[in-house]
Amino acid sequence: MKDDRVRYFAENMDRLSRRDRVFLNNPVIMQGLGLAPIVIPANSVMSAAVLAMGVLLLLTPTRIIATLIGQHVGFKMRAVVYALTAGVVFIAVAYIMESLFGTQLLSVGIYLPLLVMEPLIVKRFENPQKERIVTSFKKGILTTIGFCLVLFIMAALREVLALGTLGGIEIFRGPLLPMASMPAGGFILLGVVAAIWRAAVNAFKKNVSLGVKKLP
Amino acid sequence: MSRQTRTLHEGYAANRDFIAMMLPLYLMAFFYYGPRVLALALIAVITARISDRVAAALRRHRYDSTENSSVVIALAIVLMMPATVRFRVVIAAVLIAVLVAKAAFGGWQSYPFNPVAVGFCAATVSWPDEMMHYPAPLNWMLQSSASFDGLWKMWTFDGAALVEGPSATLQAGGLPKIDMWSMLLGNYAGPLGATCTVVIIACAIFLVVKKRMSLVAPLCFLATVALLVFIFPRYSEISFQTLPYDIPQRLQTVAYELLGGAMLFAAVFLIPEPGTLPKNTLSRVIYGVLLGVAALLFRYFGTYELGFCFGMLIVNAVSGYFDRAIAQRPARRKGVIQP
Repeated sequence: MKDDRVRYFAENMDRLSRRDRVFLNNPVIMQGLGLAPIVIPANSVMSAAVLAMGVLLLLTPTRIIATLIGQHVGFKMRAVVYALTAGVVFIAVAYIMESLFGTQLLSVGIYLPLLVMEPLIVKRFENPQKERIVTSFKKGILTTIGFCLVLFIMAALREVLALGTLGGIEIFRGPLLPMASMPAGGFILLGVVAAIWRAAVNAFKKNVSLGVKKLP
Repeated sequence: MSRQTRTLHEGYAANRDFIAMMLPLYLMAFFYYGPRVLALALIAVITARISDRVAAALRRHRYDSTENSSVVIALAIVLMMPATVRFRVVIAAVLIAVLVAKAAFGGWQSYPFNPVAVGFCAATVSWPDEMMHYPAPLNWMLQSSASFDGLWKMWTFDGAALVEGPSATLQAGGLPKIDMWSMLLGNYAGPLGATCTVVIIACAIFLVVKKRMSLVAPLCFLATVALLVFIFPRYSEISFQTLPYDIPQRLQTVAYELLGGAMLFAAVFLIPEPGTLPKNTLSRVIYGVLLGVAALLFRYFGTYELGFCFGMLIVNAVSGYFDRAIAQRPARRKGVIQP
């Protein structure tokens, strides 16, 4: 790692650890958000694409609209504002998704409508601080990217292990572990991925702190 | 470090005795199903040992070769499988049992779920057809011959008829056509090492005499199963209207349920597992009774032959609470000064 980058990471590590929603503070790996769609319906890359599109269309607009409404509503009503906003936005999302994916929506079943109450989307209401529109847009996009990254990793792993294919293309004959397509297998695999991810985060932080000591 | 001064793991002796008691079962399995059984056991043990080394490396702990609980886990998993099972199924089951169910929770005696049950359940839900169809015992002797083709058939069970175990007949409301001597000697299609009742009982006596297992939980488990089967048998020709004339048939059903489906094997090799067995006697009674109820519910209403493993996972989820709940009881008694 170059000295400038080491210095930047060392000086901003606390802030990055809180704000980086993709690697250092991934919503799925570090906060346990969005587990249900990842461990149950995301057992193929196609299902993951459907869910990712759902989250992409739902998360950021919900957050922005809820922020806008929240500025005029009392703090006690925040939970209702977020839940109702997600519900209303989902009506439009459902139509878009139906026109995009058609019958392939059946592969994710009830888990697409359930995104409305997914903590990944509505958990922001727990934070008592008001949010700016620009911040809510940025955080919405970053959270979506972080979630989709883990979603696609998990879906690809589960498809390869359970079916021996990746995106429908055969990689090897016969399944390695059919249980990977089941919720139990999804939980186990997510545990393994989370362990590797967290080890990578710790290694990165350790690398940065070691690099700082070596700086001239 | 020399062999004399090497410190043995605290569970080494108990696990060694459990391994020793599985050897007679493997001998019987070898007699019934041929040399493939030994290859399955060898693959399972090698996988377990490699998994232990990997887990130790990942946790940055020193690998302790005298911590032999993974060998017990591996050997027990194989004994509950059919002789025709593929090697990759055994490897997957042992990997999940040792790495996921044991090492991920902290290793020796730290796990909340019985690793054997976890590994077996993972294999069963992944390959249900393969795990629930068994070859007939002694079939390998009929198929073997001096030719290469004969040896290959003996090894792969190619062309051998695979049948469901006695539990499938009971599930359909009938009684298995297996005489009691065959049930006692394990001379029927079933899990390769969990059918020979006489040997399992002899192993249990040895383990009790060596104080490696307590009889409280296993006996409560078996008694609960026997009582529930006696009251609610799966045999379709028995109902509450036919009482008390059907008592012989009810007892026969109890015998089939207890001796088939590896119930006795579970009572001797799975339930006394020290990591998941409660410490208090009353807790053990509750544990055994709940295991019996859960095992029978999975058998009656589930689709898998060895449903007790699934029942065990459910009861294991709450078994850690029993000791805490029972240990707090004296403190609530009148006159006891609470801290």
